[in-house]
Parts: sequence; C-alpha cells; structure tokens
Amino acid sequence: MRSERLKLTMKTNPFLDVPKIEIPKLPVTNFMPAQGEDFEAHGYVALPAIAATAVVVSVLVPEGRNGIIKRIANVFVGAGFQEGQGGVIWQILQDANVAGNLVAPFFDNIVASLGSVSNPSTIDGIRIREAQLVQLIVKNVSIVVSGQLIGGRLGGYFYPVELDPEAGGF
Amino acid sequence: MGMAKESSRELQPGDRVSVLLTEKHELQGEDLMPHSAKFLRRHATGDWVDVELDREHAGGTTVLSVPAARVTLE
Repeated sequence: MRSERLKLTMKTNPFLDVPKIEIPKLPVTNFMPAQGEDFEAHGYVALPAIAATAVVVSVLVPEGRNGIIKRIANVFVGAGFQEGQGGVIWQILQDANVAGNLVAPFFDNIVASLGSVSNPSTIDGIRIREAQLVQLIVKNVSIVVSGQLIGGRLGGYFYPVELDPEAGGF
Repeated sequence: MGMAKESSRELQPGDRVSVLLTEKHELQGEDLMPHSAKFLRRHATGDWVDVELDREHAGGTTVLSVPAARVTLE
C-alpha cells in the first residue's frame, strides 16, 4: 500500500521529471570564476593644488589576466566641496600607460561622490585588460587647499585571459 | 570660523570683495596679500564661498572656493 502511494507521488510530482540542467560556467563578466582573484584597492591623498591632478588609487592588471571593476568610490574629506559644482573632478582611467590616457566611458567627468570608501557603489562593470594601469585620479579645479583629503576605492576581480568571451568587446 | 572678517552686511552676488591669499592662492604663507574679486555665492555649509578673481590663477582659473573668513567687502 505504501509503495503504491510513493509511485503515485513520483508520477504526479512534475519537479521529479524535470531534466537536470548543467551550467558549465557562469559568464566571467558577471561572476568571478574559480580561477579569479578579487582586488580591493583604496587610498587617500591630500587635495592637490588648484589646477593640479593627483592619483588616488592605482591598480595594475597582472599579465595573463583581464578583469572587471565592480565597485567604485570617490570622496572629498574636508571643507570647500559642493556636490555637483565641479570644484574637483574625478576620472577613472582604464589605462594610464597609454599616451593621453584611456578614460573609462562615462567616468570622464565625475563631479559628485559616487560612493564612500566604506560603502562603495556597485556597478555592472568596467572591463580592464592585462597590463593596463587602472587609476582613479582627481583634479582640483577651484578649491583652495586647506588640509582636505581625497579618498577613493576600486574593487573587482581578475580572471585568466582565456576565460574571456570571444565577443568580449576589447 | 572665528576670524571672520566679513562686514556686518551679508554678501550678495556681484559684490566687490577682497580675498586674503598668498600669491599662489594658498591659505598659508608669508606672502599673504589681498586679491580683488567678485563675490559669487555662499556654500550650503555657510563657511565657504565662491569668488571670481579679477586676475587669472596660474592654472587658468578665476573662480575659487575659499573660506568665508578670508573674504571682506571692498
């Protein structure tokens, strides 16, 4: 009696008949693979003189690795800064090694704090390639220096180049 | 800011003001001198203001954010 009831249950339970789905690997642009290594770089620098630029955070992509930046933060610590007024301007450089610098699209003219160092913004990703020197930089446009600090953070992960999708867009 | 030098009248946009900065537009130094400027706006915090200097900074800018305590009405 009991075995008959079990058979009946198996036949009528649709979940037991669903074929097993195998996912060989998740897309590396969305998920860090097992061979990946994460990075979390942060730093603070003194506000540079007016019209001068300073590097806040610098990350060198290792040979044989590409990567994705998933978390960003840029902050102004001290007096004299107003969000959105352009007193200081941040940029994320995808590669500071190339002449003229390669600026990450849409991160060229940042006039607001996009996240704090302790609580960075999560983004869909800035793709970075092996040997690139990724930097968060700041330019002081108009704020008189008075002991202020500029902070920043870049977080994400590297993965082996061979895991990059063929239509990777690089 | 304890050393406020503003006049008793509240500064208005367009007022002619004098800003006490060094020659290189820094707050500290032995060569502090008054710089003629136009008052633009007060920051939301109240203790900093934006001014437009009559003479260009070496970096090519004339608009500066400075502590309100360094600004006096001309």
